[in-house]
Amino acid sequence: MKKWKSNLDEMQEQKLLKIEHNGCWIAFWGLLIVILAQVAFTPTGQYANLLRILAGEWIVFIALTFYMLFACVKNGIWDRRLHPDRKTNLLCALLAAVAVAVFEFFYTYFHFHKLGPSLAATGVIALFTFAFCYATLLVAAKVTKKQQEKLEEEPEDETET
Amino acid sequence: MRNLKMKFRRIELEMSQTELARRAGVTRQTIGMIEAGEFNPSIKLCVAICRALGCTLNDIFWEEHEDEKVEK
Repeated sequence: MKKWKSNLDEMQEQKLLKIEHNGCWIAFWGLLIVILAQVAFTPTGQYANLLRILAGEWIVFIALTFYMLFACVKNGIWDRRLHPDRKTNLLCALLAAVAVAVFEFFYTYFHFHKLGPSLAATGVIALFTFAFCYATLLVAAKVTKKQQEKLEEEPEDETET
Repeated sequence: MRNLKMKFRRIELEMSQTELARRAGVTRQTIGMIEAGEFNPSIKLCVAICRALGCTLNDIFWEEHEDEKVEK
C-alpha cells in the first residue's frame, strides 16, 4: 500500500513530535490530577458512584502508562538521565511513597478528623506503595537491561559480509 | 535506502558495529539502523561517524544522481 506523503519538512516534523510529546504529558498529569481531585472531593458515603464516575479516566490513564512502560522496555529505553539501578529504584519508590502518604494523610484526616487512625492508614499505605513501586521498578529495570543487552548484540551476518 | 558505503567502509577497517558505535558515542542499534536505511542521522552524528571511520561526509553520505555523473 502506498504511504501518504507527509506535508511537513524535517524541522516541522521535529516540532510536531515536540508538540505531541508535550500533549502526552499534559494528558498524563491532567488525568492524574482529575482522578486525585475527584477522589479527594467525593463524600465518604459515595464510593460506589466514584468508581463508576472515574472508570473512563482510569482506563485511559492506565492504558497511557502501560503503553509508555511497555514501549520503553521493548526498546531498551529507561530515562534520559537516570540509570536502571538500585539507587534510582529506591529513590523513585521513596518519592512515590511520600506523595501517596501526603495525599492519604490529608484525605483521611479531612474526612474522618482522627489523627491516630489517619497516621496509621498513611503509614500502611506508604509502606505498601514503597514496596509495590520498588518491586515494579526492579522488574522493569531488569527487563530493560536484558533488552538493552539483546539490542546491543552484534548481528551475526556482519562479519561474513 | 541502505547505506552500503558506510557498511563497506566499516568492514574495510575491520570494525564491528559495536566498536563504531562506541567511537561515535551512540548505541549499536543506531549504527545498525543507519546502515539498514531505517534511521536518518543528524549532521552532527554523520560527522562523528565519518571521524570514527576516517573519511569525509562525501565518502559515506553523498549520493550522486545520474545527471551529475554525466556532467563530470
